[in-house]
Order: sequence, then structure tokens, then C-alpha cells
Amino acid sequence: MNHVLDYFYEVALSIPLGAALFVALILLVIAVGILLYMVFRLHMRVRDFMYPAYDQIVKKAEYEADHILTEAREQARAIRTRAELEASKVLADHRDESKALHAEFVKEFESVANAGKEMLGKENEAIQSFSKDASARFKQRADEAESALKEETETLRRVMSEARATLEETLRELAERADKDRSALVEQGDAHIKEALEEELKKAREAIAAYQKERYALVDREIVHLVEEVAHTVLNRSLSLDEHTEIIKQALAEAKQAGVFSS
Amino acid sequence: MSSALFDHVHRLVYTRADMLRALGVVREFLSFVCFTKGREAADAPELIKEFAADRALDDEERTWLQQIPAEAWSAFTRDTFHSTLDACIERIDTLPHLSLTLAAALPPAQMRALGEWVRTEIDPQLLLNIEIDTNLGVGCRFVWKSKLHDYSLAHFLHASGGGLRERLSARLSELASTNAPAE
Repeated sequence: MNHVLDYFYEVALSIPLGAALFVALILLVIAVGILLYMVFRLHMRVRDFMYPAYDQIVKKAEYEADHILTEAREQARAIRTRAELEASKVLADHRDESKALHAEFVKEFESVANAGKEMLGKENEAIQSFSKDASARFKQRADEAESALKEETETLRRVMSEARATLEETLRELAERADKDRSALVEQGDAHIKEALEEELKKAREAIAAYQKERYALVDREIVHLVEEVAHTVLNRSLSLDEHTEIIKQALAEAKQAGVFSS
Repeated sequence: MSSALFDHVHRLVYTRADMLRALGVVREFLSFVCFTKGREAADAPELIKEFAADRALDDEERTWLQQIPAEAWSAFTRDTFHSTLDACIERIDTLPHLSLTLAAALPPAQMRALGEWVRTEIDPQLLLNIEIDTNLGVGCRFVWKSKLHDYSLAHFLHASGGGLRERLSARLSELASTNAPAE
């Protein structure tokens, strides 16, 4: 045995540290796996043992809950019945009160209507008496107005006849004066017309003369222009190029004499 | 070296258009000599006839090339003749110009006569800018120092003593007075 142990120690001590640790880690992992498996098995057994007790507790709780619910429903039903009875009682009280109020309101309305009737009767009487007074006053005013109108009409008629007479007299005078003025104007107008006619005739003669002069000047310009154009055409066609050159030289010589090129 | 050629061309032509045309012909000729023929610019006088025949130059253009002296050609090289001619074209604008409007286009002989007269009488450096307007009738119209001067037919009609315009006006007035209506 000692020999085997010695051999084991010898072998164990001869293994390197890394390999020894690795083997130890593997052994540890295997041990942990075995432990977990045992715990799982134990848990399953405990659950199997506990199940009947658990089932009984649940059933009891359900029974108690049902009992509580039933009691609660009965209480609710009783409360609802009581509330309905109270409500119908309150409604009956309110209906009686409304009837009493309605009777009181009818009575009040009747008293107000009677008072209104009385007031309307009084007002009618007052209006009738006022209308009687007013018609009497209106009749009186109408009579007064009619008599005043009659007086005014008479006055107007008198004034109109006087004015007509005056107007006729004035018109007669005006007609006489107009006759006199017209004969004077006719004499004067004849003289004026004669003068104006003579003046217009003179102006017309002057205008005709000016127009004639202007037209003659225009014709004059046109003829001169025509002569220039003819000269252009004739000179362009009849002058030789030597003659053209000579004329150009003459023109430039004239310009030179005039001092154009010295400036 | 551009100055010699420029002065030669300037002596040969009188208008700005001819000046530009002549420098263009010179440029074309030098291209022909230096690049087409592969010769030096100094050999240009020998090649003028060949170039004129090849490009169908007119008499005036051929004369311009022939009248340029040999030493003016030898001043060019194939590398510099373009820039030299560009400088010549720029120099044209530095010359005095006379913008001249004529009634008719003049042929080269008459234009030469007019150009010589202008350079003798007005300014030896002058270049003409020629325009044509047949409405002038005769004479010319020109711009000198930004001012227009009209020496056309209208000018001569106005300027002639006892002018046509006055005589016509007088005659028409006589006619008007004899034909006036009696009052």
C-alpha cells in the first residue's frame, strides 16, 4: 500500500502545475454537475409529497371565497330593495308638494287676472273721455281754419287782379320800348355787317395772297431741287473719270486755300 | 528693318486699303519663299515671277513686289517676317488719314494721281480712306480732324457767282408777280 501511495505521490508530483490545475477544474465541474442533479431530484420529490396539502388549502380558500361572495350579493340585494322603497317614498312626497304648489299658483294667477281686468276697464274709460275732448277740439280748429282760408282766398284774388293789371301795363310799356330799340338796332346792325364783310373780304384776299406766295416758294424749291437732281444725273453720266479726278483735286485745292488743312 | 519695307510700300500706295493689301501680298510671298520653296528671304527677287504666276497676281500687285529693293528683302528671316509685318500693320494707324468720299470709284491710275497730289499738296505721310457715294454728283466730301467738309455738287451750285438757285428764284418770283390775281 505504501508502495502504491509512494507511486501515486511520485506520479502526482511529477505532473506539471498547469495540467494539475486543469484536471482539478474538470473534476470540480463534474462535482458541481452531480450536485445540481441531486438538488433537482430532491425538489421534484418534495413537490410530489406537498401536492395533496396544497390542493386542500386551495379548495378551502375557494369555498370561503364563494361564501363571502354569496353574502355580499344578499347584502347588496337588501340595500337595493331598501333604496327603492326610500326613492318611491320621496317621489310620493314630491308629487303631493307639486300639487299644492299648482293650486297656489292657479289662485295667484286668478287674482292677477282680476286686477288686470279692473285696470283695463279704467283705462278704457279714460281713453273714451279723452277722444271725446279731442274730437270737439279738432272740430273747433277746423272751423277756425276754414274761415281763415276763406279770408286768405279773398285777399289773394284781390291781389292777383291788381298784379295782373300792373303786369299788363308793364308789358305794354316794354313792347313800345322794344319796338323803338329794334328799329334803332336794325339801322346800327346794317352798318356793322357792312364793315365786317369788308374786313373779312380784305382778310381773305390777304390769306389768298400769302398762300399763293407760299405755294410759289414751294414750287421754287421743288424746281431747284429737280434741277440739282438732273445735274447730278447728267454729271455722273457725262463726266469722265479724269474729269472727276480733276474736280476732286480742285475741291481739295479750294479746301486748302480756305485753310481747312492748316487748322 | 521693318522700317525700310514699310517706307517702300508707303511710297507705292496711297490708300489704307492698298497698304493692307500690299503687306498681305508681301506676307504671302515670304511664306512662299521661306516655306514652300525652302529658300532664304534674300532670294525673294528671283522668285517673284514664279510666285506671281502661281498665285495669279494682278499687274498692280506684281509691280509692288518688283519695286521693293533687294536689300529690303534680305532684312527678313523665316522666323521673324510674321512679327515684322504685324509691326508694319500696327504702324499704319500712326500715319495721318484723310477720309475721302467720292462720287465715283477711280481706277488705279487716277487714284495714283490723286494720291500724289494729296501727298505733295497736303501731307507727304498722308493715307486716304476712300468711300463712294454717287449722291455727291461731283467733287468730294472729306473728314479732316473730326470735321466734315462738303465739296460736292451742292457746294459748287451754292458757291457759283449769280448761281443757278438765285437765278431760278428770281425768275419764279417774276412769274408769280405777273400771274397774281388782280384785286
